[in-house]
Amino acid sequence: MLLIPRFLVVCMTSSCAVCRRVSAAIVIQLLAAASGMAAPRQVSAPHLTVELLADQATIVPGKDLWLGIRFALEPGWHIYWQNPGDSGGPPTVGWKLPAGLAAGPIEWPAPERIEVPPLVNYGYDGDVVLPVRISAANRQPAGDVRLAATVKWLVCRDLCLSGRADVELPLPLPPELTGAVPGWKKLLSQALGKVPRAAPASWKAEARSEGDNFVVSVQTGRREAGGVFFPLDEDQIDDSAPQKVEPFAEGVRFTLRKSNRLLTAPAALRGVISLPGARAFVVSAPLDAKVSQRRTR
Amino acid sequence: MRTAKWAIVLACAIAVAAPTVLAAPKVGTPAPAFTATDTQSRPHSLADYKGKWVVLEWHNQGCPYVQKQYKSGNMQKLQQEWTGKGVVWLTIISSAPGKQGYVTAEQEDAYVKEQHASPTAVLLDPEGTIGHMYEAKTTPHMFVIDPKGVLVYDGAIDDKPTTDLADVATATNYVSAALKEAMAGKPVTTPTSKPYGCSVKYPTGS
Repeated sequence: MLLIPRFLVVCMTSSCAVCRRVSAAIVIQLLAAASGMAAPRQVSAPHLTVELLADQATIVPGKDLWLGIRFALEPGWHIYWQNPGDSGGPPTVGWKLPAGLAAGPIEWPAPERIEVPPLVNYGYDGDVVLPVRISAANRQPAGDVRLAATVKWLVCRDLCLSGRADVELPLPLPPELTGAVPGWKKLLSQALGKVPRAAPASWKAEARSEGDNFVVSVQTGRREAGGVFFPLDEDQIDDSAPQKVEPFAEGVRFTLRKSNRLLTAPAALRGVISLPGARAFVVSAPLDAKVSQRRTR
Repeated sequence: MRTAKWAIVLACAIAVAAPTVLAAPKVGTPAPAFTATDTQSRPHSLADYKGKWVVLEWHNQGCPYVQKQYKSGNMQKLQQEWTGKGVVWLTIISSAPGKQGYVTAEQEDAYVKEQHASPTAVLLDPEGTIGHMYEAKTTPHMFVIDPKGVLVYDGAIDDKPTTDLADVATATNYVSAALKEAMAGKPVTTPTSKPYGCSVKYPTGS
């Protein structure tokens, strides 16, 4: 049985409205903690709502499930990609899963370049779903489970606020939520469609150093009308410098200003390139030391 | 004749080389020269501090990342420690008039007093001139310059990019680490890091 401290009872019955409200909130927290009460599926926080969704209404032993962490952001506010660019930091998630279930990493959809002068960030605005694969390979039998997560984030406009929420998804879903599954499935498949793929083996990516710039050429086998390079490693390129993008017959070339803070040449420039037609690929462009030396001398 | 030809070549070489003085700040190369006025209307030139170690601290009192350092007392502690060892500590405000973090000289002096801060001076840079010269991106954004005027550190204040006051106690402070190592004649282990904080509120279009 839960004992409510006497001072809280005094506060709850006091004539001070704020005291009543605060003490009632504390009691609710205590009750929730004591009863193991479920965390909500959806939490509203300053400038965003965060929720969990899934592509299945129940756990099927042996079958993976896609879970989504969905952020619905207020207009003008953004969260970050795995490399946040000039500032910020990506959301993180800590899982509390029942035995037999395992969570994979966040599958990051290709981001957008978000300009907050003098900074350029890589991230998401509007409505974004971050997919996570939940492996049920060792789950026998299905049973009732709760997928619980502590999600932390930094949400920014020209200023930033950090936030956190404990959210959880009960499976099988309660009847009032089963109708949402087709919509969630669609959101997840759209998000997974934006996750960059490994560049095909036939592609050729290379980088060279030219004075203050790196020139990254990607041969995709066709003329690419445009594109954006998102670096996977921080502080290799100057995120806020405009990217020069030049299509050529067999692909596309990016001229990227080096970061002031890059003191030794990297072995390669790794990044995600977003190409026309909502295509995104992970490329690794080795830096050709010989060519670079010749060019700079 | 031959000498004249070489003089022309030399003149051209200087003309070509000159713009590099305005180039981006880079650790291991001379720090960009500047002159600015502090809150007491005193002029400060980087050149005046040849022979001394100099720390530049980009500042905005309304920024939560800056507040983390001041509310925890950490920035004041650093200023006291290093100015006590003869380091010149210049706090620089590049917020434009009308933008968040812009303060008048009087307002900043009141803040410094209230916070018990002890920078050598607070430089007012409302046009963002020094900020753009150093490509200061965030508040805080820290630079360390050696007695020869060479930049030895460019980056974050520490390795915990949060607004959480509690993180100050467990963070590795890159500015102190750079000063300690460089003063001892050792190479700086972390000469650059990614600055974190609020964006510098430069004048629009500058």
